[in-house]
Amino acid sequence: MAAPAAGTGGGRVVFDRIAHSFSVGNGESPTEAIADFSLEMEEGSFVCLLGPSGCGKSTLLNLLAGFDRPSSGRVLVGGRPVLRPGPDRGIVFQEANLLPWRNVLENITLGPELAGRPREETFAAARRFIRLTGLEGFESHAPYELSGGMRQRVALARAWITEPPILLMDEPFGALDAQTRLSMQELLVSILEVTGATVLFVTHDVDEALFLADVIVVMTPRPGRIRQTLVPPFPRPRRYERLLLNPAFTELKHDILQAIRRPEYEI
Amino acid sequence: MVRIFGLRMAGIMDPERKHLRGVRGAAISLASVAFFVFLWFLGGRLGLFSPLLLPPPGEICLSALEMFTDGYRQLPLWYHVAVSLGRVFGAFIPAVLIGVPVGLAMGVFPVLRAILDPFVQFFRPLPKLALIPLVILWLGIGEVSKVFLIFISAFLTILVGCAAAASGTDQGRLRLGRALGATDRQLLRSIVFPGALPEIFTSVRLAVGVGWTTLIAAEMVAADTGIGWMVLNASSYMRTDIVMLGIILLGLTGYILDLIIVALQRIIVPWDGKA
Repeated sequence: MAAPAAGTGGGRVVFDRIAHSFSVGNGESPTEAIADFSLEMEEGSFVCLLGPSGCGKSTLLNLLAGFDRPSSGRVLVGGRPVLRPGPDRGIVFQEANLLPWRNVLENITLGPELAGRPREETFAAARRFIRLTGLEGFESHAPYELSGGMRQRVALARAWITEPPILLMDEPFGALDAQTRLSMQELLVSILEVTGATVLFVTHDVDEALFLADVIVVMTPRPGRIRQTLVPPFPRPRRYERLLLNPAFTELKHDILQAIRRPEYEI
Repeated sequence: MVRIFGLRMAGIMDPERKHLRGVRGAAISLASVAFFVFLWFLGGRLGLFSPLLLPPPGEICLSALEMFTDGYRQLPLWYHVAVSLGRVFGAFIPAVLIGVPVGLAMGVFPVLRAILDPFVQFFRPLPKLALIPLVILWLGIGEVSKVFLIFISAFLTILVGCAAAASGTDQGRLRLGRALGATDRQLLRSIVFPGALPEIFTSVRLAVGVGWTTLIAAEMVAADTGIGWMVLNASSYMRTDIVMLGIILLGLTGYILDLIIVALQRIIVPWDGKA
């Protein structure tokens, strides 16, 4: 299994003056989703896009994924423009999106299977990620036999098994209950410590962003631009209970909430 | 709890009584059929209707016995059933083999759909009886024209079902596949086809029903064997008992075919209907 692509530049992401609009119906004037968005993501950094719904944060993730091309500007990965989706960028959606005709193990090994990797190597990697995501004993379960949190663990393992240098996560824990969400966040951090990857994480949950991110990018309502970029000053490993007692956490949360809710004309 | 004719009925509104346990449900169905047959028998005994118009169950049983031993028109009863099944399967197997891939392709490629759709939508609702004169002219009065009539009904049903199944492929699944680096071919094989399987089964199930229905039309085409023909032939001799026997055989065989497909569906697409 290839080592995490540290130092090769494959995990460096640049959004270069992105603007993006889309038209809903025929003849409608296009909706401007993103305006003048530029961001550089250091290799191995964890960046949270934070903003109200409809601010275009998922659009940015889709542009980096290659599902969509920007109306203007460039998205660069490792210095090369993104043209199409590819296995160098693993994705976890809000819905686990598991294939119901495959069991847990077969869902996890889908990526390597499509890439034609040798079975021995794939199973070794699968065993490793099943252990990391705490799915031991569930390998032959069908997706419909799993809880929401367990399904999302499978989705994590599936995105991660090929150890892509970049991970895209679109509100992956948004549909989970509060306790499950917290344990999934801790799980995510613990796996990142082992594997390392550049992460673009979309969320509207301020606590989640403060707990996970190296860099938080707060966005404005549509058309989405950067309102504020901030670096949570909490050392790792972070403990959620400790963060809650940290006055800086409360203060940052307060500032971010205000930044999100501040009306446009005050900029 | 709701009462119907004074009977307390547990419905889907009652939290704990959503489904009847398998055996109990079957027992109730069986009792219902037995009760119906008893009423029919009683009606015949009391002379409520003419045996010529509605022969009592006993008479039908006797005719059935007679036909099991002597056959109908010199041919044993099982032979007629076998001939009819043969025609249906002779039409059904090519209908599945051609209909599934072509239907899926129509669902995947809009251009192909645009080319074929006008013909499909024209022929599908057309009563297949209307085609009989042309089919006889073109294919003659042999087996080919009978099988063709059943084929065209089943084929169109499968085509439409499979096209809808493929074009309704979940966008999230396609994105997932693409993000994992799947080629177009791999997307078709690993995402579109397995995802369409439940609906393919549903369309095949519908097609068996439609095909079995068309059988009567097909056996009106100069046949001298088959259950459908037996019903038509017996009616012209006022053998209502044989007509009823034929109808019961047609219904039962169709029911059994459906059960077989549902069983196959449970084995091949066990995830269907589960969240």
